[in-house]
Order: sequence, then structure tokens, then C-alpha cells
Amino acid sequence: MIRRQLRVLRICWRAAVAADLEYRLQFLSSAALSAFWMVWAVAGASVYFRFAGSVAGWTHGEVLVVIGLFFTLNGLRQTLLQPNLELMSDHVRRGTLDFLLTKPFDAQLLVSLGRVRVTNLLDPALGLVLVTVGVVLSGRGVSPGRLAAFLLLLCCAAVLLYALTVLLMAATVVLVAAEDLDRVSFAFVELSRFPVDLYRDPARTLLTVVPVAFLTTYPGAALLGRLDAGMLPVAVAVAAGAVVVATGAWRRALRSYAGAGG
Amino acid sequence: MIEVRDLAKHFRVHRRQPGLAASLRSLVHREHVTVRAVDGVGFTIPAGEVVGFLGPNGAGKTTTLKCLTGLLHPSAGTVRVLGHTPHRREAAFLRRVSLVMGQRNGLFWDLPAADAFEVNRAVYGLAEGPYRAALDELVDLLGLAPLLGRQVRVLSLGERMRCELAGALLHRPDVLFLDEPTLGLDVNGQAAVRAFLRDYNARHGATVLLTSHYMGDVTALARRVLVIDRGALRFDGDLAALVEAHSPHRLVRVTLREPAPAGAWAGLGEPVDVDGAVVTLAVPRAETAAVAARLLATLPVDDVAIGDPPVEEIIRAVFAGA
Repeated sequence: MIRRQLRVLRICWRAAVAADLEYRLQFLSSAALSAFWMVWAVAGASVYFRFAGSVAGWTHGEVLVVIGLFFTLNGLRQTLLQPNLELMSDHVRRGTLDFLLTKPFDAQLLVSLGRVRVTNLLDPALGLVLVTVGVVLSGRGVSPGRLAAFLLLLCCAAVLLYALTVLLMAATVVLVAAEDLDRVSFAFVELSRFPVDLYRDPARTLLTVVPVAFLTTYPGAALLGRLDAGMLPVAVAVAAGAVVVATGAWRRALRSYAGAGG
Repeated sequence: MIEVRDLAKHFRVHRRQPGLAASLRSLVHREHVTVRAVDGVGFTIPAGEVVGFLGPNGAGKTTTLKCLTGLLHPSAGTVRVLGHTPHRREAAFLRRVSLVMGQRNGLFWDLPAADAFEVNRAVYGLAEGPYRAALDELVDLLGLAPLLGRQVRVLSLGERMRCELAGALLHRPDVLFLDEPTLGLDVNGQAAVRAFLRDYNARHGATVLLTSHYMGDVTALARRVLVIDRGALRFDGDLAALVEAHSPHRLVRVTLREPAPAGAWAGLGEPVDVDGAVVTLAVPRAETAAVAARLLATLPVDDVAIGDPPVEEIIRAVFAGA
């Protein structure tokens, strides 16, 4: 079953990559924009650290780790989730979701991961470079234990984003006219651009509950050795819970699905 | 094979009066009405039969089709297809059915047709041998060889429809649901699709339920028709029986050697079309033979042809009387 699913995704992705690579200029301009926005974000953050060694307990290097993670996750969102979310609205309006639902295949998987857009793939790569630079600047070093915790939390963050996408797709099925729902996922990731500790309460508490803190703050803190190990099972539980809620919402939305036309 | 009993599908929809004031009112107070898209429909289709599903827009054809394919959960009644309850969407059921909808794209739009077929192969988990055999047959029957390397999105409507059919039949479904499969196609395209479907049914014995606005599709493919209107089944039987039951007249087309004198048709039938020396008379069904004999005996006739009115007219009469 999993082999069959991977095979379908491989064919879809291969074709999407081939289509993206045909637009060389778009590919290059997207890469240039990625680099520009990263420099802009780093320069913006650096302004604060000209006047203070740390902000809310986070040093310059540590904040760069979080900004790097923001670019990594946002790049993954733009590569894997955004194109599928955009397509979902089309599926519902044009009635092509009917075809996906009459196939012996997990429709959720096909609509949520069937398309990939590689023009933004530079963002995750640049993001990880910035994470590395941030770790070096922070002078904290990296142990295998921290790296493992970081990778686990990064996976949890990706799963959270995926769950949000499925939730938005379920909303698209119910609302039909929902082209702008992608902005919700963008706003969700955008909130994670800085460590949540930089916000005041009640915003900080809210961002922990929502749970924006699990996207970049906690993975960054784990890599830097400043996260309580007790947060690891919490992060796994939050990610797993989000998937359960999103899948439930998707199934419920399909029960109410009336299709396009007729 | 397909068993439908007392099927009902009701939708609760928001009703809003026209105008800005009504729009503002509907923000705070929503009025809902229940639309009975399908209400108490029942029929059985044995394996291998091709059935035409007729009805005006909004009659409930597509809703019924969606209940049969598992896309919609019925509000009441039971639906069984190949022994399965469709809305459970079990893989064992979905592997044996296929849905084709005219002007809607079931294949992946961005892929070349050959890759889109590969996706379907992976989706249905087809082994290389059966897949290759089915693909070769479909490529041959539908003339797809020149289209395989082209992206689905750049194909013409007719080409795309042929590819859609191939994609939908690669897994050799036992039941095929066709919703307006020739919609928007030119005459040649329609004829090609009809010929293919007839051939496919003869080769593989697939059960086919077909909805179409083009009576040509139905008369070419189906002997039995289901007529639905306002969510209820109005007729279930042979197309020929439908014609006989709802058309008390037959059409007698007479070609004369010279134009007929005034009053020549009195007592024979009602002229419904006069084109010089070619006259079409509507004649009561029971009197057709006698009228033809009298025409031959009393007028300088070159040719006489007897036929039924176009099925479109008969269907209109069914709905008008419903």
C-alpha cells in the first residue's frame, strides 16, 4: 500500500518538477527573491542586536537559528503545501474532486501532497545554512542528543503544518469559494518568524497554545540546548493530535460534500 | 449488479431573496429550504446492460449517479452496486467501477497523457501485463498513439475525452458511469465515442449507466431507458416501449411525383411538414398501414417512408405530461 502511494506521488512530483524547470526565468527570479528576503530578515533582526546583547533571553545567533527555521518551514510550505491548497479550491469548484474520490486511493494524500513546486526549494536550503550560522554565532555547539531532539521537533513542526493544510482543505470542501485560505497557513508560519518569547503575554501564551511555538521556537531551542526534554513528548502528542483532528475534519467534510453542479 | 431502492437525497440549502436588503438580512437570519433532488427512486440493472438515464436539467440524474458512485451519502433508501454500499468507498468497490464526466478532467491536467495513465496504473495497482494489454487495446480503439506524449491540458476537447475514456477504462471496470460523455464534442467526436462505448460493452460485458442530453447517445447505445424528472422515476423500460407509449402518432413521409391538390390529405393524417412534393403526415399509430395503402392507391406516390417522431420530442412529451 505505502509503495503504491509513493509510486503515485513520485510520478506526480516528477512531472511537476519537469514543468517547473521549463520556466527557467521564474526559477531564477524565485531564487533571487528567496536570497533577498533572507538578507532583509537577517539585517532587520541585526538592528536590535546593535543595541543589546540579547532580547528576551535570546542572543543574536540564537534568533538567527529561529529565523533560519522560519525560512526552512516556509520554504517547505511553499514547495509542498501551498500548491496543493491552491489546487484544492479548483478541485472543488470544477468538480474534479469527484474523480479523486472515486479512485481506490487515499484522496487525502493525493490532494494534500500530489503537487510540488520546486521554485521555492532554495528557501529550506538557505534556511538551514542560516540555522548553521546561528548555531556557530551562538557558540553553544551541537551534541548528537540535541541534534536528534531538533530533528524530531522539526518533523513535528512539518507534521503540524501538514495538519493545518488538511484542515484548510476540509474547509475548502465545505465553503467551496475558499481561494484565500492559503493566507491562513502563511499567517500561521509568519507568526513563527521570531521566538515566541519575544512577544508579550497573553500573545506568548496564545502562540504556545495555537501552537506556533512548536514550529520554530522549540526546535531552535532544542538545537541550542535550551529546551526542557519534557517538551519532546508534548510536541509529538501535539503533532499527532493535530493530524487526528485534521483527518477527522477532512472525513467529516467529505460526508457533507455535494460536489460541483448537478 | 446495481440495485437501488427508495433512494432519496435531500439537500438543505440557503435561500435568499434578491436585493441588498435581503443580503444584509441573510447575514443575521438565514432561511433554509430542503431540496429533494432525488425522492424515492428505485431500479435494478443486471450485469452487462447498457441503460440510458434521461431527464431535464435538475431532474436528479447526476445526484443519482453520485449516490451510485459513492460520492454522496443517500438521505434514505439503499444502494448496492456489485454487492457493495457505494458511499463506504471500499477499495474493492472502487477498483471495479469508473466514472466519466464530460468536460471534467479526471486525468492529471499537467501530465502528458502517457504519464497520466501511469498515475492511474499506480492508483489501481495494475500489474505490468494487464495494464499493457488494456492500454494497447485502448490506444488502438481510440486512436491515441499520437496523443500519448502531449500534456492533457493542451489536447482538444475531443482528444481529451478520448484520453479520459482510456484513463477510466485501464482497470477494466465492471460498471461504468457516464455523465454526458459527449458534451461539447462535434458530430465526429460524438460518433467516435459512441462507437467505442458500444464496442467496449460488446467486448467486456461492462454494465453502463449513461446520462446524456444527446438522444443520439442513448439511441445508439441503450435499449432500456430510465426517465427521471423532479427527483422521481417516470419511466423504466425499453426505449421502443417509451416511444410507443408516449407517441400516439407515427410519421408517414410521402414523396409525390407532383404537388398534391388542395384537400388531398383530408381523412389521411395531419401534415406536419410540407416541402414541395415531400409531405410528412402525423398518422394515428393504429391506422398507419391503412393510410399508407390509401396514399399509394389515391395519389401519384414516388416513395413512402414510415417512422417514429424524434426521441427528443417524445421525451419532451413525457416531461410535459409528468
